[in-house]
Amino acid sequence: MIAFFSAPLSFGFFVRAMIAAMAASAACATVGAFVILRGMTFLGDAIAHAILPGVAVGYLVHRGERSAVFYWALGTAVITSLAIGAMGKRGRLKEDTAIGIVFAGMFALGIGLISTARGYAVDLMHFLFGNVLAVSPTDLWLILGLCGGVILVVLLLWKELSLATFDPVFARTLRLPVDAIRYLVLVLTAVTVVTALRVVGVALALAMLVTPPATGYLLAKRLPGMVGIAVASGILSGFWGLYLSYYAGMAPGAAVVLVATGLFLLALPFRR
Amino acid sequence: MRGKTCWTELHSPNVPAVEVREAAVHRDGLPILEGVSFSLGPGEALAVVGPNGAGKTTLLSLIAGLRRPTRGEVRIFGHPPGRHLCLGYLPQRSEAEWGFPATVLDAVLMGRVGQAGLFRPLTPSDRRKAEEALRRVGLGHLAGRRIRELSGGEQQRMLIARALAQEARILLLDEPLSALDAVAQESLLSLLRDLAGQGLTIVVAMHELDLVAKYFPRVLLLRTRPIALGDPKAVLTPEALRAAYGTALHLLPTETGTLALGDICCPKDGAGR
Repeated sequence: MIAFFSAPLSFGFFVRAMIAAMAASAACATVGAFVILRGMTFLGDAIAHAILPGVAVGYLVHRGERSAVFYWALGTAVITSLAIGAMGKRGRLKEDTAIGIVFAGMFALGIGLISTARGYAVDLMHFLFGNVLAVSPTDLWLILGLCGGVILVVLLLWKELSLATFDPVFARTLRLPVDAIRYLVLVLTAVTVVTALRVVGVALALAMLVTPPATGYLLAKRLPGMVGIAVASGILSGFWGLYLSYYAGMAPGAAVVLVATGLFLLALPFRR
Repeated sequence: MRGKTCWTELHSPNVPAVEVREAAVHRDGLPILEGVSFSLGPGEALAVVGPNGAGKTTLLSLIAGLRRPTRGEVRIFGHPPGRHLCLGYLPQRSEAEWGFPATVLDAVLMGRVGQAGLFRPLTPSDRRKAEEALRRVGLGHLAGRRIRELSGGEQQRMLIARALAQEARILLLDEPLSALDAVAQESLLSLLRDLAGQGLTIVVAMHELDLVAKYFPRVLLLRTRPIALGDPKAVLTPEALRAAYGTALHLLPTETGTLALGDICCPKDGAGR
């Protein structure tokens, strides 16, 4: 039994992967709680997909240097989130239609750019589905720093975020900068998506943002409980996901998401 | 900008709580609201009635400081609106997310966010004020209930409690009765009357003409322009009502007076801009 847990831990890459997965899951769950309560799930998915061109350019410019790609992803994510925020309700198309067009187009641009490199298929797979086992010590510090920063911002602005999420019109009458808070949530989403990028990849980042908070929503009566359960189920997904990946020989990103989904299904009968 | 409490204390008691002077709002060159003037002191309540599209919501959002008048001005305790916390506004369709995971007390506590200021957590004293506010609206026993389990009437009361927790001196309610049954309507109106008795200034936009005279000493009949303002018995005359509602209104003479029926149909007639 002890060997079951300790065997993979003798590999440095496994330990780093597990810490990265748990940290990214915790940050995603914290921000994701506000994302699902604000009905911004689709925006989260759009941001995740729209950062691919940035990743692609970073990949082409700095061949083989993974941390560089990280910064490109971060930059693109923040710009994309602000652009999506600005798109807002102007224009003739409905917001979700406009975002759908932009994000599919950006995604295609990303795949197109990466495919111009020779032997791109493996790397493309990594961007789409994550390669958490390849997280270097430098990457790990970056991920931990970003996750810590995101969680800290949420804790500091907890009551403002809650109020602007619960009742934006009322928040405005209290002189709360509601639009700035909306942008803040978008930027926080962008940053967490980038941390999730290494763990589960572009295609599955949405799951880390949405599934654990949904589990929390089912089980909790109040927001602190919801976020607490979300973070716990995110961390558990990272933990068990990596063991599942190790013993079943499964892609780690997929395994993490499968555990998160399993926890959600387990919570379903206990919703209150 | 934030953290400012009500300014009543800073001013002589002669300053009205709400003062609207010749306020007009135009959209695309067409008037939505024109030439509205009135002033309300502490403890005064005003009902605003008129057909759909008459400008009731515009007037309330003007007082709330959510939009600016094209002409004229609005003063809250002598100051321009929109810079203080002494105003509680309950919009017609609450944009509150009722699925939000919070108890009634949590939601009322959010009224304290403005006073607490950035980064500062809420304190036990905030909590006491929120509990006191819940008791004042008669929801003390529901503090631990989840907000999505409240009835329509309880939701309205909770939002009023939140405004009280905010230490609002002025309450603006936009058609608070429309989703309530007759019993809940009267009980909400008597709560508002009690709160006015405790010194709050209250403005309610509503359609229920039959309830106006019973609960409000003053009424403003509006159809873009003010048709009449004053005591309900003097204002809600068949002539004035016809001027406001046109043919969309049916007037039935009864033993107790004229009963006005129907007003929210027929946009062609009723909704004169």
